[in-house]
Amino acid sequence: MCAEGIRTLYKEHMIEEYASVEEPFYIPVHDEEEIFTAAYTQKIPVLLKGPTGCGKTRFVQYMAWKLGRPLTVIKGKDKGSEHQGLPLVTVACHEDLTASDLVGRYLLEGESTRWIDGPLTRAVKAGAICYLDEIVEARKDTTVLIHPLTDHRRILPVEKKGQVLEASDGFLLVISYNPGYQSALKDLKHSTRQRFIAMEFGYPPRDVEKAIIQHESGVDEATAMELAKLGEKVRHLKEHGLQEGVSTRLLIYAGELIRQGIAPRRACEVAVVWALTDDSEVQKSVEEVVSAIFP
Amino acid sequence: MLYDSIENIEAGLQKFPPAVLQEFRSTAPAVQRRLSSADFYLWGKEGIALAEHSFRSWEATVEYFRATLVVLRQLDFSHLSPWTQGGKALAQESSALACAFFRASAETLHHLSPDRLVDWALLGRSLYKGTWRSSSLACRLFDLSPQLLIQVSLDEMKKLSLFLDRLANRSYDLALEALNLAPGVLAELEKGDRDALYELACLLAEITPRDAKLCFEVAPKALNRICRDERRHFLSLVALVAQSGAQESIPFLFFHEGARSLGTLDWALHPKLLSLAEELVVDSPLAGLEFLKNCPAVLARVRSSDLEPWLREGQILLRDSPEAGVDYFRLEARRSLEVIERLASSMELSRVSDVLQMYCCALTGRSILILPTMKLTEKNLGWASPDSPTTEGNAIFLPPVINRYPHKDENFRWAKVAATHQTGHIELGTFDFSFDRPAHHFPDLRPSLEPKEAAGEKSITDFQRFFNFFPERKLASETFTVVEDSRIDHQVKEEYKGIKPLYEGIQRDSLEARPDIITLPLREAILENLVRISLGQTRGLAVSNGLQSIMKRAVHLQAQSRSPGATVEDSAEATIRLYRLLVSIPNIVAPSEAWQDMDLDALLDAETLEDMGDQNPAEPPLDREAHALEFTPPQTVEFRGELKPELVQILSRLERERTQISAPALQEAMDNSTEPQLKDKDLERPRDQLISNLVKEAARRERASSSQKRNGLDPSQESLERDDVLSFLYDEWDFRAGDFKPRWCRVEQKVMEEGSADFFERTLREYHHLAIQVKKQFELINPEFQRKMKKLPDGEEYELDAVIEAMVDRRAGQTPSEKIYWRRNKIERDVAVAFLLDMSASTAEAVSEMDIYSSQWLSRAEPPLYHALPGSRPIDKRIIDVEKESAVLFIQALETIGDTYSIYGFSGYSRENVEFYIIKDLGEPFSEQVKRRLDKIAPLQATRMGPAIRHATAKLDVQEAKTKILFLLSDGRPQDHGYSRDGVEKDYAVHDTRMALVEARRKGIVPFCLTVDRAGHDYLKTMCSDMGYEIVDDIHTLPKRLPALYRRLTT
Ligand SMILES: Nc1ncnc2c1ncn2[C@@H]1O[C@H](COP(=O)(O)OP(=O)(O)OP(=O)(O)O)[C@@H](O)[C@H]1O
Ligand SMILES: [Mg+2]
Repeated sequence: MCAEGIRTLYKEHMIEEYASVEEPFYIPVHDEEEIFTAAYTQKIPVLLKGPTGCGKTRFVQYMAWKLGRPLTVIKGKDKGSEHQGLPLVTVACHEDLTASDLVGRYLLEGESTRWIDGPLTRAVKAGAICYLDEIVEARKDTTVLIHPLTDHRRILPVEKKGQVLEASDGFLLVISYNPGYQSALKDLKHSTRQRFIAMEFGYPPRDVEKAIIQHESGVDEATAMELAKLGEKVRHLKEHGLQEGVSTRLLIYAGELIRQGIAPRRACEVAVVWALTDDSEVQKSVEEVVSAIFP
Repeated sequence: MLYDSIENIEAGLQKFPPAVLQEFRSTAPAVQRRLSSADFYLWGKEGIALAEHSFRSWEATVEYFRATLVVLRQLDFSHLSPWTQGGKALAQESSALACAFFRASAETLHHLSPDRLVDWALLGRSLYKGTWRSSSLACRLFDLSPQLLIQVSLDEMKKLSLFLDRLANRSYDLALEALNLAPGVLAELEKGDRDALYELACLLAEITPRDAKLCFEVAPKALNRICRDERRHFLSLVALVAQSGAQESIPFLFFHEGARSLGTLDWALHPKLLSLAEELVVDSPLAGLEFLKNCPAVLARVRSSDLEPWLREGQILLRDSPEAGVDYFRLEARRSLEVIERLASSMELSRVSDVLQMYCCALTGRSILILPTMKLTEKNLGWASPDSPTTEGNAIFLPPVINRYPHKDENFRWAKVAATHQTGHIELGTFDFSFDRPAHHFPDLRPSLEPKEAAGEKSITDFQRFFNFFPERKLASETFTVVEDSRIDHQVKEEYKGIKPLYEGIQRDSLEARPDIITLPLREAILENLVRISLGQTRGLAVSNGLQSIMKRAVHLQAQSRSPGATVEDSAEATIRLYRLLVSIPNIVAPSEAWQDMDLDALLDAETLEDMGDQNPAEPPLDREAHALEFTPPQTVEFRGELKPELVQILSRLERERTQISAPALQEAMDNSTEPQLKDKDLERPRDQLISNLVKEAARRERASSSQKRNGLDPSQESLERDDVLSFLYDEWDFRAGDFKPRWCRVEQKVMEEGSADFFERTLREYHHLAIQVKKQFELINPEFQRKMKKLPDGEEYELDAVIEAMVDRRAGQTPSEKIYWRRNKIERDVAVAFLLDMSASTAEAVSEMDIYSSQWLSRAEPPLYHALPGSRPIDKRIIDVEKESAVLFIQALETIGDTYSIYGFSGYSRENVEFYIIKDLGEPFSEQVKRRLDKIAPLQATRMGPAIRHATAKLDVQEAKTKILFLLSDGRPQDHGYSRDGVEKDYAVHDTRMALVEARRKGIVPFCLTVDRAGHDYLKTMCSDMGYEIVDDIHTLPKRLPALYRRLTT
């Protein structure tokens, strides 16, 4: 019992083997599903634009699952027909992310060295969807790296090994990009930009967001509605004190706290007001909005 | 000589000027009749004796004779003699005195008992000191005696004359003035007050005579403003002020202004206030004065019980530093306002307007400004009430100070509810009313109202078109207001559940201020019931007998217009039906026994009601009743304020299509609009004025919104329009008081006018060589420089040293560090600079010819040209010209390197008007316009650096650059009207400037001062001791020096 407990404390997956078995919850807001499917079929790389926490990652997860094949047997263990999603490799980009972080590098091992594949290489080999989150944060040389992968060549040069990898069939590069915060300097180069079709994501409309909040956090419909309303109102403050509107993610957090028995105003305070900004004037204003909506 | 016959006497009088004899002859017969002959002769003899006394004393005799007759009517002869003796005694001193005495006697005797005549004479005498001036004072006292004695007793007059005597010791002019004022002053004072006043006046007369006279002069006005029992106390305070060595005029100001401000306050507060003031006066009379003066302002913000804590804080400060203390009580210290704010119960709108603004913006999704009501009323667009919340569609206006509840929080809540109501109008579409859009809950009657041929043709707004159908327009529009306000309140509470309890609380409070229904005429009573219902009242509604069914219908209509999803069009439909109900009843007052108490439930009781509004109205029985009253709108519900839908629509129509609206159409719209203040002035002018104001406002809005669209800026930036001035308030540092003077300076920001771009091009041509040089230098600056980072766990290459170290460690059997890589990290150049240019008048000074010849860099840069053509260069260049040229080169440098920069100029006069010109703003791209604006830089007025620096700092502060620089270019020390302490201490300006620079530095901005003032060392050391500064000795090096300095600062 005890030993088993320890064993199940965490699950380890090879990244290219990590694929959802269960259908991720996603409510399509527009025609994004259709477009993405078409792009995938045609192997057109996709750029997802949109503010933080509006469902980009979730969408990719969902599409990875959707586009997967039904599997008949997995390792002989499970029986029957089950749906197996496409593997999805996600890399969060940051300013120190180098090309070798993506492609792979030699490691010193004893007196010799050993090569290990980076996540991009693994995705290319496994035919996974590779999702580079916040691509603009990465160094410029990294963005150039993906150029040959994203045109008709679909190859990944592995310079250090002197190799070129052809992408396997299921491979697709998806990148995300939040146009909001970057300074002009950090904009994507056009040569990079124009290798992707771009899909704009926004925060979902009140009704859809309500359903999402309700599902994800488990609060009742009325509360979910009020949270969605709060979201809508607070987003009006973007560029009027707030750099960014409140994300669906935060609203879900607030819902979860409420579900745990935290009073709504308080839950919104910690999940929305303080999470959003450090400016005390703005905090006060958002608090006034919260207290106008929640008794 | 014996005077025992008329002849004898006349002979005796012969030797005097003929007037004497003449007077005698005219009086004598009547006197003779009244007196025994012995007495009569004695009388004549006294006259002669009087006249013989001195050279001019015959004049006294004339007066004596003349007065006798009248006097005799009041005196018997026994009194006549002391009177005569009194006069004679005076004549011994001065015949003028005696004259005055006799002349005034007749009148005086009406108010004085005869046996006090001698006292009276002596009183006058006592003022006489043997001089000409003293005699005129004494005479004047006699002259005025009749007037004075009407008011006061002779004994009291003695007190007065004691005061006059003291005052005369210092200045006869003042004494005479005081005396002349006395009858008027004394008439208006009560006896007790007068006695206290004499005392004070006597005391002041010795210490500070001017104040004594001034105090005496204003005494009635002043004293009557003060609580009766405290007047003595107050006067004793003034005495204390004088005695504690206050400067001249302070005692008077204390008296005058102190009383004036006390007069505005509740008398019950006077004892407390005066004893508080007394405590201060002991330490500093000036502080006491300022305290009294500012009491009303403080009490407008804090409860009276909180006044003392506020005072105590100031008192501590006062004992430490008198200047600081006085500033505190003058409300010119930030500390003081902070304490008030902490203690205050009232709420200043300015403190919460940002919060409310964002709140309203969140609710509506539109950028709505929150402004104090006067911002609207002063524009004179048709809104006039300073206390009512309202909106003109774009901004919400609230009273500047909200003081309805004893706690600040409650006041804030009121403001929040009021603001929410106004956003409700905006969010829920009150102003989007469309005549043609169908209602949701009513069959539409509107189309049927309009005669086919007239369909909407003349009206410029839908509201106008709608209200035009009602013969009683005011009744219709007020009914609409009631219905619409009630819809908004209802829907807001539904939509925002959180604010509902608060909202209903405020609604309940507003119910308390409603008028008694049964005192209202019938139509108004029905509306009043509806208002009350909309505010949540459910019981105790009053319905006049016979009107129950009408009332029921009205209540149903109201309920219907509040159903879910109701729109403004529903309110309009309800208005039509309500109007018909209302005009069917006369607006008369019903006797109080004709009313019935009803509850809302009963009124809503489902008795079937056919929709009577759907039938066309019967001819309204208007004026059927002779005593029908003119309709008065329901009393405003305070938190809802004013609703002016027609004006809002006119404004927005004007904004959109100003040119398509003809003047007559506009005039008509204004004429039949229901704004009362328009109606009752039937003059043409105010209406035209109003129209032109409206048109101006609409134009302003249009500009603002189009510039917003163009630049993606929020409306607070609408200043970018040239003729729009934005003003900002900044504190100023008072180094003596060690505190900021709060909101002291007004910076008026405007965009510089445009001149010609020639200047820019010309300068570049002129400084061709230098320009190229500067450009090259700046091109060398790498926009992103690399920094090698060592000892990283990961990187581009092994770092040799670290690898060796690791190997050594390994060999030594120790765990080697993993950090053996290096990597180049790019650091992007991210600089924002504000360049602040002194445009004071002194920059008009010509740069001397000598300077030009000795100019180092010029001879180096362009020697051939210069020597060859000595006259080709304008030698009357001014400092400002060189500043401008430097700016041109600077711009060129900055454009090369791509830093964010701005060019500002400043000048102005006095703290009320610090002008701040934008030549190029941060974030604004460089353009032809900027070139043209540069041309217009010119010497203006003074140099108040502090506020200009603070404003530039505020602008830099919102920039996101890593490095921010504030570059100040000036030609001398900071100087401005009132930029000193009490007009003398010049250091004040230097210290304020220094503080402004320190504030900038605290915000992470690097300040740098560059001055061309060769005598700058002394003050610059104080001003910029630990900051960067440089003095450019030779102004001609400026164009070169500036870019060089900048390069050094930023690399
Ligand atoms: N359309 C949607 N259907 C279902 N869930 C959604 C949807 N949109 C957003 N969510 C919810 O919002 C949360 C945040 O979304 P997600 O993590 O995908 O945001 P993101 O756009 O990737 O943000 P970031 O840019 O910060 O990475 C998800 O956990 C999900 O619960
Ligand atoms: Mg994501």
